[in-house]
Formats: sequence, C-alpha cells, structure tokens
Amino acid sequence: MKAVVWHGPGDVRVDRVPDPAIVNPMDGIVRVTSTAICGSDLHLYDGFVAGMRAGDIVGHEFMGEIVEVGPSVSRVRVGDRVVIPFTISCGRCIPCSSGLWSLCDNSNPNAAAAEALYGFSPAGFFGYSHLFGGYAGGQAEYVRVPFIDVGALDVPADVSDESVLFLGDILPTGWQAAEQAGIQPGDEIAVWGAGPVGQFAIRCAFLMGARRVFAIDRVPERLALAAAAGAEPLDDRDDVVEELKARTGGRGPDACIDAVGMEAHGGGVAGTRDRLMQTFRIGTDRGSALRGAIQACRKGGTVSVPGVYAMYLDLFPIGAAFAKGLTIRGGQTHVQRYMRPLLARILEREIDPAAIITDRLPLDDAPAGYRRFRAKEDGCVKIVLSPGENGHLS
Amino acid sequence: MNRPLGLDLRPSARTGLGTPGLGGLALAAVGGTALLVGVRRRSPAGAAVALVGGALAYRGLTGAGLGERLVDLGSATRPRFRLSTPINPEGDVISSTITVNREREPVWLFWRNPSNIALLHGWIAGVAIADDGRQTWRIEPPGAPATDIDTRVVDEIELERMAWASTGDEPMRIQLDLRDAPRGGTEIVLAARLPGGGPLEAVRRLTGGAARTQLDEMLRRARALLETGEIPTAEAQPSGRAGEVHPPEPARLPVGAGA
Repeated sequence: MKAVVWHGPGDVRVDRVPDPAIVNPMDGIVRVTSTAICGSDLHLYDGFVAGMRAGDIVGHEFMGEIVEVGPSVSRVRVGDRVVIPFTISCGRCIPCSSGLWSLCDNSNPNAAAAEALYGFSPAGFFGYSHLFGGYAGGQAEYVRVPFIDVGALDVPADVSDESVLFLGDILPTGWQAAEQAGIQPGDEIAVWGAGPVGQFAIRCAFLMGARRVFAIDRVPERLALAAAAGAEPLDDRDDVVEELKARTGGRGPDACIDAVGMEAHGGGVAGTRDRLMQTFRIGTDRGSALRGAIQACRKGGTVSVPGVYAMYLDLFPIGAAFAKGLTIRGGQTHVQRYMRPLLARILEREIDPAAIITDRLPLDDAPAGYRRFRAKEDGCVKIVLSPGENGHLS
Repeated sequence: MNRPLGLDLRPSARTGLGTPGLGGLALAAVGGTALLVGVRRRSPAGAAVALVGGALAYRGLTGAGLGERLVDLGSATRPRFRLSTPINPEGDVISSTITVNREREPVWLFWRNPSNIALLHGWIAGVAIADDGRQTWRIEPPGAPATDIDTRVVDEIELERMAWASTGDEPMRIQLDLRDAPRGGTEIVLAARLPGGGPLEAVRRLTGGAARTQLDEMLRRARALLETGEIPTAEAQPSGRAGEVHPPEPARLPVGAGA
C-alpha cells in the first residue's frame, strides 16, 4: 500500500510499504477513504516530538471502511463505515472506565518510555512517535486499528466524509478545549490560534453560550474564517493583553484557550529565547501563546490548553497564574467521550466541520501539502487527503 | 543518552533556570559568534575559543552556567534514570506496584496459573510443572544461554499472597501481594530478590541494571491481559524501514484471563 512516511525533520514522502495485518484479537483493519494533516503533525514534521524513527507512518485523523476484524471483535463488522479516534483506548482500564480515554492504561506498548519522561504514560496514538506507542498512522491506504470495537464510530451513509472526518480529532479537541474553559452563558472568551482546532474551539464556545469570542492570530485568512464564525479578530503582534483588557471593560477574558501549543510564533525576549533554545535543541517548547493566555486571563479565570506541548517550557509565568488564582486545564482529547454527541450536532446542522477545509489533495501530494500547511501558504487552513480507489491489499 | 526500551528520546529533557533577558541574548550572540569563529579555525586555539564561546552562549540562553545546568539537568531528568534499581550481590529486594481494574478473585486466579507467567516477560519461554508441584521456569535472555530455574510455591494465602522461591543455597524469591484498591479494583505488589552468584548470576547480570523495569513491565502486561485479554503491541506492522516488517505473531491469550 501507499503511506506517508516520516524520514526526518521536514522530510515526508509517500512510500510503498507492506499492508497491515491483524495482530491482536481485538484489531480491525480500515481501508482509509479520507485522512487529514493535523496541526500536531507539524510538530513531528518539524522534529520537535521525541521518539520518532525514520520510516514511521504518520497521520492520526482518518476514516474509512472496515475490511477485516480480529476474532474478538463483536460490535463492529466488515463493511462498516467508521471514523477512528486518534486516541487508542482499551475501554476497560480505570482511566477509560472514567471517561479519560486519552489516558488509557493499556494502549501504549512503550509505556515505560513515556513513564520515564512524564511519570505516567498516556494512551497510545496513531502515527505519533514511539513515545506514544509507535503505531502506524492513518495517512495511508490501510490502517491497523487496535481495540476497534471501542473506538470506531459508525457514521450514516448519507453524510459525506468531509462532514464527519474531524470527529476523530480536531472537532472533539475544539469542544473539549471549550468545555475545559468552563464556559458559562455570557462569557467572554479569547482563543489563541485560529488554526483548525482554534476554529472549532471558537464555534464550540459559541455553542456553549459565550457572548463574545476573540480570535488571536496573524494569518489574515484564518482571522477572516474566525470572523465568519462570529469571533472578533486580533493580530497577535499587537499588544493583545491590553487590547483584550480594553474590550472587556478592564476585566480580561473569563477564559483563555491556547490552541497553538509548542510552536508559537511570538516575538519579544521570551519568544526569541524560546526559538533560540529550540533551534539549538536545548529547549523543546515555545510558549508565547500560553504566556499570553495566562497574562490576559481575568482574575479567577480559566486557561484551557488543547495545544500540544512536548516536554519543557522555560519562563512559564507561574507567578501570574498563582497571583490571579487561575485554573489551568489541558491534555490530549478524550475523543471517544465526544464523538457521538458531536455527530448528533453535525446531523442537526449545528456545526459544519467541512467549513474549515481549504485544500483537498490526493495522498500522493501529501509532501507538498505538508509544506503548504506549514508555511500557511495560499490560505491553507486544513488539508484533507484522499487515498483514492486504487489501494488494494496485496 | 539514556534509551529506555531502545528509543531515542531526543530532544532531551530540559528545564529552565533564571531569566537571561536582553543581556542573556546578547551574551548568547557573543558566545555563538565565538563558537563559530573557533570552529572555523580548526586549531587548538580555535577549539579553546569555541569552547568558551559555547559556554557563554549556553549561559546566555539558559541563564545558567554549564555546570549549574548539568546539575539541574541531572535533577530534572532523574526519572529517566529511575529505570534501574541496582541489585547488589547480597540480594536487594526490588518491588513494583500497579492497580488493576478487576476484582481480586480473577487477579488471584490469573497469577495462580503458571502458564500465565510466561506471558508476562519476553524472556520467560515457558513454565513446566512437575507432579510434586515444582515449577521449572525456562529463561531465554537475548544473547545469552537459556537457563532453567526450579521454583516452588513457598507461601500462599488465598486471594492475598503468593510467593515463589528457587531451589539452591541462595534462592531467588518473588512475592505477589494483593489488596483491594480504595475505589475498586485490585492493587498488586510484586517484589523480587535476585541473589548474586550461583546459577542465577547470568540472569542477574542481564537484568541487574533494569530489574525494576522488568517488574514494571511484567505488571503492565498482567494488567493488560487481565483487563483486555491481550497485550498491546506495535510490532508486526508496516513501516517504511526496509526489512523491518515481520509476519504477524499469533496473539497469546491466557486461559481465563479475558476481561
């Protein structure tokens, strides 16, 4: 089959690789009909996530048709059309039983490595480094899906791939970001990053009753897309903290959402220092968005962090967070918790995930897609890849 | 660098010290320039200039001297090196604990079944049971000769404790304790004493630096089997690495371990 293979920082290629096979009894094999390049794939692309090995198949947003199942699979069947969550979850451990699907105890075969870095291991993820399991990813014609009964969401035949594809990651991620912000009706919310997750966080914040949402970015097309959803655009190169204070009667936003993560573009002393440290590999994460969110948030407010951070962030403003009594929440998305209710909202036309798609490419063009997405060229916000009809298990 | 499970975990863990500000950035710029100049000279003097420049750049960027930084790094990354609990020749006791989302009875039955033991560690090739109750554990460490270890259950309290000890003058002892977890499930404590010398020396040397890791991994596998009936794996799957794909191995399900 064909798959998008990571060969090193800035180097992904579409290679011929062997087809996947059932390995464990609860596995399934999915023939991918649509997949996407996620913002967090760029952290792999740029070489900032530990545990990548040349030859890894990437991608964690995908959907398709089940073509094979293991002997212990009972809920889903061959022929089902399904969306697969990027979080691989067993459904039976204590975290899964508590709805904390992205913290599954059992799905990361390399848990020892993650425990060494983080104290405990989160779930395994598709196509997201050996630190998180080393599972082959979904930017491919076929994918092996462990615990497929637990994760796969069957979708109606009469909705398009583009309408439901993002149920596997970025739509639930935007929803969880808004939920973890603790939004109450009438709240004023600021969202750093108007990329795909930020776009959904904005829309979900409104669905939860936010009165105003401020979108902070520097890419005009992304700000325009946010404005189309009702957000008030702000350029991140301006004094955002002062601007937010001015627009909220001096209070500051009730909650701030960092939908940027570890590759923020901020300037100033801290931002320059972040970039230098990351360049020389003596630091891992660039934290301008998170610093801004903490600085801008009102007293007693909440900072929600869906943006991915890898390891360590210097100049973390713990003093501001402490002095203002902030609540900080974050983490990988418990996708399975949100897929079904969000599918219902899509079917009710409360939210249109396809609205953020700007580029549709064949899988073969994935390397160009990565370059365009990373450079944010030509208004690129979200790329959907189609493996096409030419993939065959052989 | 440390490579738990053989993984390259770069970029390495780093922590922040101090705030260099503009002065730090200036220092970093000066140091970086000296580093480049020194490297280009390709001479002992150049090497010295590069060394000093590198140290200055490091201080400028991190706000700390290199020595101070290394001290801090040791502290910050200590969990990465927690993997080893050294075993001294007198035989230290090492232990690991985990909570399983199952009641005590299935957990107890799982551990009482000797054939399940072989599923918990890649080096345990099998467990044979003699008529007198003696168990022979076949250990096949990679790159080392296989070793048979005769063991016997030496302590058994139903639903609470089981202990195995090897025969010989300096017995290895492995002990399992079960107790109810406060919010449901079962806490498992697995402890081992691996003595130095004797027929177990090869095993001790091979496992010595990472004995605690071995226990951790055994418990993780036991939890996966008890909760899901299978052990997660990313082996035998496609990649773009030439020659790395193996044919799928049959999943090994223990009898009665399914959730």
